[in-house]
Amino acid sequence: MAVTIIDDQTKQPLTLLPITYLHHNVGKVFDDLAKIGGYAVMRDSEVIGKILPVAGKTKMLTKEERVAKVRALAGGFHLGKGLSPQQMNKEYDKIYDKMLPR
Amino acid sequence: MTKCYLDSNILVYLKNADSPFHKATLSLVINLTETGVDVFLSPLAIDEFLHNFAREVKAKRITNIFEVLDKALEEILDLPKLEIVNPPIERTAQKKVVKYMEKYQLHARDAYHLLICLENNIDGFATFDKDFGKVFKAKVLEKAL
Repeated sequence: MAVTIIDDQTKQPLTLLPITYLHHNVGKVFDDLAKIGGYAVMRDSEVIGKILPVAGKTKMLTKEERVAKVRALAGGFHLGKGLSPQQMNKEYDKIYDKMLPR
Repeated sequence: MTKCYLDSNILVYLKNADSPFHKATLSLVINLTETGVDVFLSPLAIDEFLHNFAREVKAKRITNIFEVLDKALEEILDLPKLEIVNPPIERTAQKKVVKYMEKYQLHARDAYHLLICLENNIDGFATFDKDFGKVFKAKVLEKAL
């Protein structure tokens, strides 16, 4: 279970976050930020900073919401089998017929 | 990998639900999303996407081609954590393209994709294009498929 402290200014709980974990998992830390609510970044057992979500302006999507959005945005067009990657490359190459030799 | 550039074939296969590559592409993009990887496009990749997607739309004899392209592109640009990056404008950077063509046996346009990645500190590359084999082998970029 995550250990939290209470932020002096906001009076909201902040999850303690070792700086080495932040260094190696920065994407996940920010992905979870909206859900977690805020982090207290720790180095050598001392809190050295805070990471808080932007209040009000934009709602940060959770990981699950982002995956659902990708699923919703994918597809949508039924254009037949289409070209293989190799065939697609040949299509591009037609434009570059006079390109430099490889 | 913390950043991943999407090649145009990824965009085409993501939007065409009939493509035999659609399922693998969707899995890839979901995996990038789940692992918190930021995804990147360039105008060069969008240009290639529009060219090939338009070709597939025309092949299906769909008449409102620009509406289709607009909708498809809009949905791609709506992908979470997606950013647009540009090639560098410095004179010296342009000359790197020729070096990449020679070193990794790339076409000019593929060398430009590589330049865009490297100049924007993008460490991953998603493509079905086997022409990037030497780039992946040399570990210049990490293959995202």
